[in-house]
Amino acid sequence: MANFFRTILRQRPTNLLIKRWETTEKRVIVHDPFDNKPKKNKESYLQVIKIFEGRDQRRRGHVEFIYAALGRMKEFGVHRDLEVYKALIEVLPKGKFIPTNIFQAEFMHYPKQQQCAVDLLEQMENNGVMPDIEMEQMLLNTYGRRGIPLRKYWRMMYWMPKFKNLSPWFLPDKLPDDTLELAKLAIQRITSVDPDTKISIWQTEEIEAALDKTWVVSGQSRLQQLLLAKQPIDEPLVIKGPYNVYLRDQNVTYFTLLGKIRDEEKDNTDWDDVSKIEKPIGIPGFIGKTTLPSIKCTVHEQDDGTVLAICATGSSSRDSLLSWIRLLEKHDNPVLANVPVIFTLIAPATDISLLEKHPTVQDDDNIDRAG
Amino acid sequence: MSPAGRASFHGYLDTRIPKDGRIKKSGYCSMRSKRIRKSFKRDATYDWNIYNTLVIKVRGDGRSYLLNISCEGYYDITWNDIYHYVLYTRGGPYWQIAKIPFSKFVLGSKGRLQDKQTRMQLDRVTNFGIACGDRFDGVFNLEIEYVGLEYDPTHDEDFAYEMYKTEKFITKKTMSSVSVQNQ
Repeated sequence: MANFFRTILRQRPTNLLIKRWETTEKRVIVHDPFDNKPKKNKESYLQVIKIFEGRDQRRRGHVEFIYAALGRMKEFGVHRDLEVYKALIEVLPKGKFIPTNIFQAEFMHYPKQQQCAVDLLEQMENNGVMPDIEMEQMLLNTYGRRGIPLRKYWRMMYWMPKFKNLSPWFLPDKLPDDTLELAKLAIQRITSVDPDTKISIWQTEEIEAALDKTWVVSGQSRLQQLLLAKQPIDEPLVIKGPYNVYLRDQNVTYFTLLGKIRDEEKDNTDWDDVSKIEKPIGIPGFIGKTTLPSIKCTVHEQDDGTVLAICATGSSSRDSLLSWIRLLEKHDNPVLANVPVIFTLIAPATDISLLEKHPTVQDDDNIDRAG
Repeated sequence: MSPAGRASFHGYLDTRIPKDGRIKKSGYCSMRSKRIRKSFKRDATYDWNIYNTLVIKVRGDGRSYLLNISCEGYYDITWNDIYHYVLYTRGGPYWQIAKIPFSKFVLGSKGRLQDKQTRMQLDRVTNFGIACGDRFDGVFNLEIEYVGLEYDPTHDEDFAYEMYKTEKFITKKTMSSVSVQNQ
């Protein structure tokens, strides 16, 4: 019985009207060699290219293959790999596309293939991969000296080295995966204003009452320690955050400790009084001062407050920030024991247990933390 | 406006490409000044011949921004002539003053760097703008305090990019195929 139904359903309709729609039926299954690889990495990608090269001596459809391969590079994670790009250029047959007379050279000989190579070089440029002399030789053998891809290669080799190291803050080519290393790089970048900054990495386990077990990267210079020591005790300090800083494509959140701006010093000395003239600065015998200059001219003093320290924590939660304050106090900042600190976190990252509705929370350091 | 009372250029860059077959790249945001005018709405140009440096005080988020100085001319080939330079921001709460001499700006047309590079003609400047297009998804935020011009007497470089003599018909004026890089 089932057999009978199967034979009916298997009959293809021979009606002429339906025949027109038959072209939407796929009789040929498209075989995507990039899809069914179990592990997507450089080796399997190069394997697919080798299979294509070995399959047909004439390399039919190599342009389409190269475009498909370019689109799949990100999946396989090889978009920053020069060898892979070279392997793709190897797919193109050598010697066939070189123009032999002046007309061929003038009117882009084999335009589709030349455009394909230009698109490959464009993708290299977008990913920041610099080509090398071997690639120039390959392009020369494929397209000849007058080819468009070779011109693009020359332009890349002129401009890319000029733009590669323009950034004044050095970042390694491959950013570290570890969040602690990233945070260290970020804090170094932010505090590069003051070369005296000391970056310290602490663990919150040093504080007994800490709930969050994480690392804290903190940057503070001696100038900032002095500024902190001079802060009025009854005025609260504010922790502002979380702010974002980008390291190429990675994002690091950091917090700043802001204090009040120092008051202007009122200089009431009467300059016409000659009874007591002091020795001017600059004459030998007067070595230096460890006090702050009277006019606010340090880089940490800004219009909206004095930046006293910067930190990045593993989990950007309020608890880890509290640990940061305690750790700062432990390491050369005894003033923090007495000064109140206000937290202004807009969206607490991991504090689900605390039912706090308003964004600002005042935590006086004198009060013991309840669990 | 930012909370600190300065101008804030912010937004969210998204590099997802709309699937309509035509667009190849996406994720770009820019702003530009209006062209100055003489009386009766005639277009005029800035004359910056007495200056040689651009000064900008910003507070960024670590991303790189493009400073674009547009020098449209009279003919339509040059209408898209923009001189670019990449401004790398430090990030962090500290303000950053960047001084960029005009000799370092690179000529590009519609984003493509030209082969024949020339120094920016300072009496033909029409607009100034800032763009963000560094190909990473995410929020971008640039606070600008001021943009100014300065004359730096110690800077005597005429132009930073050499132009080698190449064979005829190899280098072209408007159809270069290298785009502006932000790394």
